[in-house]
Amino acid sequence: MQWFYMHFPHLYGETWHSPFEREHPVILAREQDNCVADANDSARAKGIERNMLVNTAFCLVPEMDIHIMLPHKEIQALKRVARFAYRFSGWVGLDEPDGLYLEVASMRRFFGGLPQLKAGIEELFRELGYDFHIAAAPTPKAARILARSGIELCADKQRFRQALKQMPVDCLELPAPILIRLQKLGMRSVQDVANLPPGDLSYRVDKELATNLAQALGQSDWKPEPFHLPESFRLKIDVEQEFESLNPLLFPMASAVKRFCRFMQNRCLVSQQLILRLIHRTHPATTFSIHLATADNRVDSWVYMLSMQIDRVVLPAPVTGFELKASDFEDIPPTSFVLFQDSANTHEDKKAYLLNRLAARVGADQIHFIGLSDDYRPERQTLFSSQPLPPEALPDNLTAQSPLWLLQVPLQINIRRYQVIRGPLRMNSGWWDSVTASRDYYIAATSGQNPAALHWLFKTPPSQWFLHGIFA
Amino acid sequence: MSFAELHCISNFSFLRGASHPEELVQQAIKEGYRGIAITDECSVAGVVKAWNEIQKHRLKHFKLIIGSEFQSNGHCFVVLCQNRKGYGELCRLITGCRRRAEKGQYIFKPEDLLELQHCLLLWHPKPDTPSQIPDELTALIKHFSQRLWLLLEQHLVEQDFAQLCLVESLSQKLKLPIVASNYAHMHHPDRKMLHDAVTAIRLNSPVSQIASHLKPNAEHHLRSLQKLKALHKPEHLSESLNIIDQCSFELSELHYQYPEESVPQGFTAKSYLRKVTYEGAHTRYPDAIPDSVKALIEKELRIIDELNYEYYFLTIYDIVKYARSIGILCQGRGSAANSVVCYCLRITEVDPTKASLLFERFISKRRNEPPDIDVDFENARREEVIQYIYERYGRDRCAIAATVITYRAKSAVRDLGKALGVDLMQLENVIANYGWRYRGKDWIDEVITPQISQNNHTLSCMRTLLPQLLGFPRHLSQHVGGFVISQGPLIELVPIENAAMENRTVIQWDKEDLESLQLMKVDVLALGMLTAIRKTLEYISERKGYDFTMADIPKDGDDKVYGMLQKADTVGLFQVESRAQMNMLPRLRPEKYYDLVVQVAIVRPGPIHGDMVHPYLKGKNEGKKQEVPLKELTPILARTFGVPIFQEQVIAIAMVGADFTADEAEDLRRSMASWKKQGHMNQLRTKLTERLLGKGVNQDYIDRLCRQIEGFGEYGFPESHAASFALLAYISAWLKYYYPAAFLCGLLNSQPMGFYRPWQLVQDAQRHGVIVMPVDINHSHWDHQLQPHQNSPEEGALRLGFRSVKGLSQHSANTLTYNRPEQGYQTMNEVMNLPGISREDLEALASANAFQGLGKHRYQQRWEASAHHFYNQLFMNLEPPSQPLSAPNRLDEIIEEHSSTGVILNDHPMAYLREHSILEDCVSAEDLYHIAPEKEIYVAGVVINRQRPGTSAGVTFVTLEDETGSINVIVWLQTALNQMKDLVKARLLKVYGKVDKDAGGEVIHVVAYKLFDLTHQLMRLESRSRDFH
Repeated sequence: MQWFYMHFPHLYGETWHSPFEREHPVILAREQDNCVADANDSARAKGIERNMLVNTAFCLVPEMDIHIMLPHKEIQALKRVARFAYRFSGWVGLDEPDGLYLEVASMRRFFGGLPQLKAGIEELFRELGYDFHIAAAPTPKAARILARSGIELCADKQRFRQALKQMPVDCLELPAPILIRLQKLGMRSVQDVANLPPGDLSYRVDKELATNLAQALGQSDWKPEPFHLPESFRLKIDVEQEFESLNPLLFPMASAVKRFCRFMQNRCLVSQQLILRLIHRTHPATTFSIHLATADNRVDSWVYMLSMQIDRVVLPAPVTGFELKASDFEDIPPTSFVLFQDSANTHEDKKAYLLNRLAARVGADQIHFIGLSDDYRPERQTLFSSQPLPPEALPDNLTAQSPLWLLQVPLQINIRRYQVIRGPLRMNSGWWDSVTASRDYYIAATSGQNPAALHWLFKTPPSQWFLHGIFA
Repeated sequence: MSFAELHCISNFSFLRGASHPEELVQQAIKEGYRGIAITDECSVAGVVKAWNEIQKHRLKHFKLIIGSEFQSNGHCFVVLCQNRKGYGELCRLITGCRRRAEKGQYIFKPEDLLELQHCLLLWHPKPDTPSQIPDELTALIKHFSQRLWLLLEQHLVEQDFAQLCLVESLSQKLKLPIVASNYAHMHHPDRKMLHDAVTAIRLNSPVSQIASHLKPNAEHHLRSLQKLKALHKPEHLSESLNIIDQCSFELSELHYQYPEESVPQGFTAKSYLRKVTYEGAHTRYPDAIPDSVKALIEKELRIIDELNYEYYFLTIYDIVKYARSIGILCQGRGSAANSVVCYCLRITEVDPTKASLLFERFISKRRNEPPDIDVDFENARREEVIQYIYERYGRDRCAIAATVITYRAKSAVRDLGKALGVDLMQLENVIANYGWRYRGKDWIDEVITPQISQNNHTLSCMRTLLPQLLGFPRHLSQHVGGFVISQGPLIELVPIENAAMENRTVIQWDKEDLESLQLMKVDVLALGMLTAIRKTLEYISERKGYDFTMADIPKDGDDKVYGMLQKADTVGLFQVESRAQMNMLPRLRPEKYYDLVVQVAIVRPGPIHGDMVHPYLKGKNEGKKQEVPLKELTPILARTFGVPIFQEQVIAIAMVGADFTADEAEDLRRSMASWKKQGHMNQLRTKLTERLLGKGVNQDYIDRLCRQIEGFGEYGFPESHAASFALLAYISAWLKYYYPAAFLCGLLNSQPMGFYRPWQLVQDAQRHGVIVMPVDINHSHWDHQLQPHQNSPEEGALRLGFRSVKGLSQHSANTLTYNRPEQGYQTMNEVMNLPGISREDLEALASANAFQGLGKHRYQQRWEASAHHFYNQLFMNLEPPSQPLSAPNRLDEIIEEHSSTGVILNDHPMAYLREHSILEDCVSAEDLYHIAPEKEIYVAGVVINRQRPGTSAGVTFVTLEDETGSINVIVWLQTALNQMKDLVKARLLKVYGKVDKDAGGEVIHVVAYKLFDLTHQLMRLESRSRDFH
């Protein structure tokens, strides 16, 4: 067996804040301890180091940019490079947060030898703009120690042993108390540590260190958990003749969509988007996406949506085949399982069904959910949102005296035409977003109209009167 | 028609009220109210401030009612005290509710109100109160018959009508009168923004996200009578006057409640104080009491009698007497502490006859100020004194005063930023980078910049709100040592609540409140140096074979000791060891006790901001006295060469020069901290300026005086305190000069304290000829000890104790010494087999090289120690494999010694580097004396401290230490900014700069041009500098 290890020291920054290496200093901060997790060259040149307090970093470089590292994005970044690494190895292992193990012995012949394989990896990742260290060794942990120490070496067992002599114990990236224990025994290089009897090392210094070293030296066996590529769906159908309209193709497309739904159902997944690619003989392919308002895996939802979408497509050229593609899947949301059919669930199903149909008709971006905010300003009490608001978010300070019909823009009026019935209710709110509302609200009846209408008026401090709503 | 507000919360209902109690009182007076009740939520913390405000206005017809509100299940109850008994009941009620809950919270049940016999109750019913009144409320209605009102509060909101209907129907049904109220949360509607912001701070969410928790409008303020008339029926308004007429309690009824335990039976306080004072005087002056002292005693006793302060002096005497009886060193300070009476009572060691220059030592009869005596006790044993006070006076009669934690610049910016939803990282960035200590008047404009937020509106809101929020109380905390002792149960004097520390409680008033009410307050403070001095005296006594005390130290002035002080050879001394003090010592050249008093006080923001230092030095060294601007000020300023140095002098100038009345002067003393603020202090400032100008004092002098007052605000330092501190500074200097080993031992055994780390203290002592021996398993004890040594027959040598071994517990060290055989431990196994000795203990000892006497180097000893239990207990049959480890080299030894004990005895990292040709071009500290001034050189050393004193803007003092001594480096602001990274991060620093020497060539500085970080040369050396930024 032969393993590569790739260490990406600035993986997060290079993935999410590209280009990371620029002239302006940038740091990534961990929120939990307010420390620097990584810094670009420019920031490091000015004295910023990893694990330094963000406040200290600010003292040194006040003009720097700061980004918070989000844990879920860390693993996403690692998975992204793992996908690329998959091109070179059938066994890729993740070493969170910024390392990859690659089993390469089985791929050596395919790529024409280890040097070629290594060169191929290096070329790809350099092109992608990643900074990395790569090392090869007979065991994954040995490759890890080399790469993380910055020693880019293709080592066999013997060369690995020799390399350990050059490595100070700090290279092991140990927690501070264990590093201190080693230093207090006079251990300078990793080889000094490796020379200690493993049992004694385990008892006297640290069990995990002893295990890791044994695994690196091949004294005990260890392989990383293999990484699996995420699910994706792709289905290409060639039709026997050229079609100038899509209606005749609806049947084969529907059965392809059924296969897509079965694919999801078998894996307990749902999706919100499916890409349909129509292939023409000479013309470039026409691509459009079928988008549901809520994620689903039921055949009727998808087929209905498909038929609605197809109606609107204008073909630039006859179709000779089509392809379905999907890669964004979610797990089925948890539902309550009760013995008897839960009416709430049925209701939710029906709602999703209706929403999807509406989305198909008018477009998903035209659908808004209505919510209520607890702002005192009446014009801000109704919210539109692309996601449904949870029922508990409903505020409890809604005014009952306001009319349902609210004018979009209050209308200046002459108060003499009104007879005030009740009021005032005073409002003084909203200073924080610069739209301060200082108003006295009144209910007034129109005079001179028969029957009189009830209007909702307000007066502003300079004694200007406005009509804001009309009662039924 | 008139009205009194009966339901009103101040900002002492923390983060609920949006006005200071003083503002509420002022506004109520302005609106023509007849009175106001401050009814903070389960608290009376703000009432003293309101009371003080009323005293200032001297209004006879305006009434302050003391009360408190309690929320329960949607109902709100307001309790108002009718008389002193009612006030006691309210305090009991609040204490009960507070003690049941965690710090800052309270738990209230309506049944609790049934205990109240002398209070009135106002009830704001919850909106959905059923027509069938629940039992607990029925009981209340019955209990408070003729003492209960329904509160009607109309705020122009939707619920007003429903509330009106509810209150009126309840009134009819229960035959209860209705009283109208504003339920004021602020004094003026302009505070609505701030009210919203503090609500957001309380709920820890941005204001835009908590709209439902905000008030819809600003009607919760003290509204005009006209407005109230439009909203309420006249009978509901006039009912408020009926209520205040039934409340007669005034806070002034509380004062002068002194405990009587301190006076034995058969004596009056007066006669007993006279007796013990004269007894003390005979001890102090064994030959005969000088006539001048007698006269002074009589004068002081007379004033004490007139002001009724006997109990105060006797209580302090009682506490101090107890401390002395169990061997705890203590020292009083403060205006009253420097009196002859206190000297006779041994409250202080400052002999007033010998320090006759001290000005107005005693309480001034003219000023209505309370006596001020702070007593410092050894920090290690202060708790014993506190426990004594509890035992002597009972836990129900004494408690620690509160400190009101208020919003200061940084906390206000941080909390307001959060409330306005700005990016927290950016906010922290701005907070971290702003030079808070050097902020000027326009600091708000400098801090609130687009760096905090791109939204101009948010910035403008912050600018508006910041000045309002500053000084707002945030929560109550425990005072460092201010005790209040009462005659009756304290619980009836002031409510008590839980503190953050377990089993600790605090009262709801702070020191100023206690002073205002003239309640008995004793400051029991902790001082590390007293512990060190007591220990040093013990070691000297052991050597001498008799009890050597502070009184045995000649205080007449010892030229050798002053010589040492003049050379700034002051590492480890009390008060005069900082870099700024060391800088001043050779310039001020103290020659006698009073010079030390000035020395202690002069390196402070007050004199420095007021540019008083140079004129003083000129006066002292060149005999050029500063011209006193007014003839009548001469007696005040004569002893400081015409230059005002002390806080007392500035106040005296205000009184004599600017004709301040006693009250105004007292106001000035208290308000120095808020001198910069607008408003009330501005009036005092204007008054001072105008009157002095009127008398012909020039503007420049007045400006300097004002700046000095500003500086005192940051860190006030009165002469009366400096006098006591100077005495301790002198004693520590004397001990260091004559008994350097004992003094070092005392200092090391009292760590942590002071300015320097043990290594620096040891290095300094070694340079003074003290022999220091390493930790040894067969010779050390837990404490450092003086042991006989052939090269130091008089004092002996200092043997480092086990307390310096990092990671070794005291219990294990005691086991080691207790079981140590007479001939000592011969093998490591003997130590290993002791009960209770853990692997960590053994490892710590091995790394500290305590097993050196048993052979083998420290790495090998540690290797063996690390698996002792494994091979000797768990697997006894296994033979430990032999694993020879390589011995540490010289650098390893340095690093290990430092990391294991914090002290390097016979080597120095700089010596190592010098021998390895890394510092070839660097001049050593010792050789600096031979370098000509102005020469440009390199120096290098371990960074011992970096200090940016608040007094000298822009300069950073860096102290480096090499194997021959310490080097003082001055880094000017521009150099610091250019090389911030090296200045902040370097642990080992090389400096290129110019030598700067004083005329005598004794004070040497290196003014840095360029800094080089050499830390990488000794990566593993864990030296930490004492940084004061």
